[in-house]
Amino acid sequence: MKKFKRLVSVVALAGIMGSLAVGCGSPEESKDKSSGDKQALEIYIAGYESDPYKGLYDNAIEGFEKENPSVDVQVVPAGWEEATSKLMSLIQANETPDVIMTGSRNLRQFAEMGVIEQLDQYMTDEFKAGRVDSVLNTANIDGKQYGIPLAFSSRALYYRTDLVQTPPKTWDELVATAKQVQEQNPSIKGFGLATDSTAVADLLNFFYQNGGRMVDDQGNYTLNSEENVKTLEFLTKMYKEDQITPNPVDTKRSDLATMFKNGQIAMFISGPWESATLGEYGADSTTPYGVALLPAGSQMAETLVTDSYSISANSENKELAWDLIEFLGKYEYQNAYDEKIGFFPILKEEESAERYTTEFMKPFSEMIQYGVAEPQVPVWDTFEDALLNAVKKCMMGEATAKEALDQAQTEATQK
Amino acid sequence: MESKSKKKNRVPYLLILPAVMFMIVVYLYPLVLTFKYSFFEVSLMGSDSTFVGLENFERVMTDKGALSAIFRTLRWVALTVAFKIGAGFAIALLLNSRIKGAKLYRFLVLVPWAIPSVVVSIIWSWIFDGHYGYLNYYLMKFKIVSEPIHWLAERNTAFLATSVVDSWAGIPLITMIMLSGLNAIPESLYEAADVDGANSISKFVHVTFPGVRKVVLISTILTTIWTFNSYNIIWVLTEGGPVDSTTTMVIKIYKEAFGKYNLGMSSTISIMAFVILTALSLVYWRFLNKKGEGI
Repeated sequence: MKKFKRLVSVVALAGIMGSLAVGCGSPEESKDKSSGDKQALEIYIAGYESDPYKGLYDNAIEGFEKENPSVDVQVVPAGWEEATSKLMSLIQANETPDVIMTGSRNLRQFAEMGVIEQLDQYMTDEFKAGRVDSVLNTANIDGKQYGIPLAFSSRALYYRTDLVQTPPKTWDELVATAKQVQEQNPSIKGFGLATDSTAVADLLNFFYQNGGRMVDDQGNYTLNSEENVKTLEFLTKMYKEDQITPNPVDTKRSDLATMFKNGQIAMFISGPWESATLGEYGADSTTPYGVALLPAGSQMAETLVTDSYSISANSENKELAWDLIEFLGKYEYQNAYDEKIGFFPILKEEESAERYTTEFMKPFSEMIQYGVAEPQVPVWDTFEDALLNAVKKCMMGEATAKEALDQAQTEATQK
Repeated sequence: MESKSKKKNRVPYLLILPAVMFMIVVYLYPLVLTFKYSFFEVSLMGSDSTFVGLENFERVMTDKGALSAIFRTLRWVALTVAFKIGAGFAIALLLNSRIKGAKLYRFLVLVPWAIPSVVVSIIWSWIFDGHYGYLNYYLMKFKIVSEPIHWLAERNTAFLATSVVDSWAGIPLITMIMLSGLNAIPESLYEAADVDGANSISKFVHVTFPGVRKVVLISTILTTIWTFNSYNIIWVLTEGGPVDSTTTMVIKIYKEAFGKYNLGMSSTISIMAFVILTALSLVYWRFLNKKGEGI
């Protein structure tokens, strides 16, 4: 019994202490990264494990290893939800992978921290000439290139063709159409809206469409601007008054396609990748769908979302890291990647591909001209948390749009 | 002679040296570092840190979010511990009575404890799901509610849901501890009570409860400490949301460190949690070391 008591007390104390040791990594000697005779090169890939991404990355990396037999590329995978925090702890532990693939929205933060390398010196004119300028620019911070985009997405409105005759062109029409659908089909909600962290770009669409911005030209937050308050009022009204959307606080972006497929919602906004869940365009007869341009607010707008490769400032193999980035961006691999997932052209060579002119892809392609960059904020996670909390507070009826965004402004500005 | 005894004295210390070193590296060093950081403004995003004295503590005491996290933690822990101890004790009493298949039940009751907490949370998040969840399905099927309840998207229900799931995972251990306490009560006491003509209520009040009083107290203190540190279940179910309705101190510590990258604030809240838990541990320690009164 006594032994047991002692064991219990040790376990208990260990538990207490252990739980308090949050984030106390200390810089350690940078370890020798070579494994065997081969030179090791680490690449951090957010969203690596999910299908079909893994296969696409593996295929390209294998190609690189074949061409460079002395190199062993090691993937450091991360889920999108933990992408930034995992990377931050690797940086903190001085174990930053040589190549980093994550959302371009984080580039400013990493550039200001000095953890990523400026890439202008590596880019040849030939390299630049092969890339779509506007896309390459999304990874350019104050005139300096910090990332090389590899994924570029565009969004459109998915709608049930059997329930919606003409897709809505404006916000007002969106509400009216949704109400009409609900009148005829009481078990279906007109429109799906998500408020989880992966839905930020979709929420930003609405804010942008009303002429609002999250930061001004100097990089100061403008979360509680008049336009943004109006937008949030509109979003809240959709849920609370018009009742055309299922509880947004309880909805994740990844739920929307399934809810649409199950006949719970008649419209939602997302990218071309949803055809994997919804079935090939025009093939499904129980939940037939169409795609259209996003409904406009006071103007047309869409958030331009890209993901980029960058190179760690601490990397000992920067040249090799660049070689890998260049290799992964070869037409052969880039085109296969974009085609499989439904991303938009990174390389000029891809632009003429027939797949972008299909009836399904047309609205997505057309939306790109209205693109607005993601806000370049100092710390993305803080901003994201503040914005999402503001939206949720309104949906939960805890604050008015003005109050919620005022609080968000304070939260985001506070260190 | 003297040198021999000295040598003899040194051996035990040498033997525990590896363990002590381990404790220093794994527990003491981070703890000291956390203490240090609580007086600094440290950002995970840079190498600079500035000494700010008690400013972090002042901010926690005046910050609405941090303060409410502290009070929320106390409420959440109180509710969850009450669930765990109450249900754990009740189940132990049932299992201790002469029922058919008691052994099978004893095994079954351990099952939740054997499932990793992340898996537990994922299973429960499906049960609580506001669109497809089992719970809503049955509540609506039996016409208890007319519209689905968004368990994890409303303040009070999310608070309750996380507490229930944490209890569910914690009850088996409490049951087992209580059961061993109940088993330790000599059968002769019950026989004596029977002779005195005691009914089952007075047997419970005068024999059973005094017999397990210490076990109940000690397991309550331990459960409070464990529950206070509960992280996995809350994080997987709600990530501390909606908004901040399930953000306990431990969740807040994580959010400050890995959401805002503010290590100073995170350390400060850690230290406050440490103080609360140390106080609890001391109470526990006292109980454990009371002479002549074992568990």
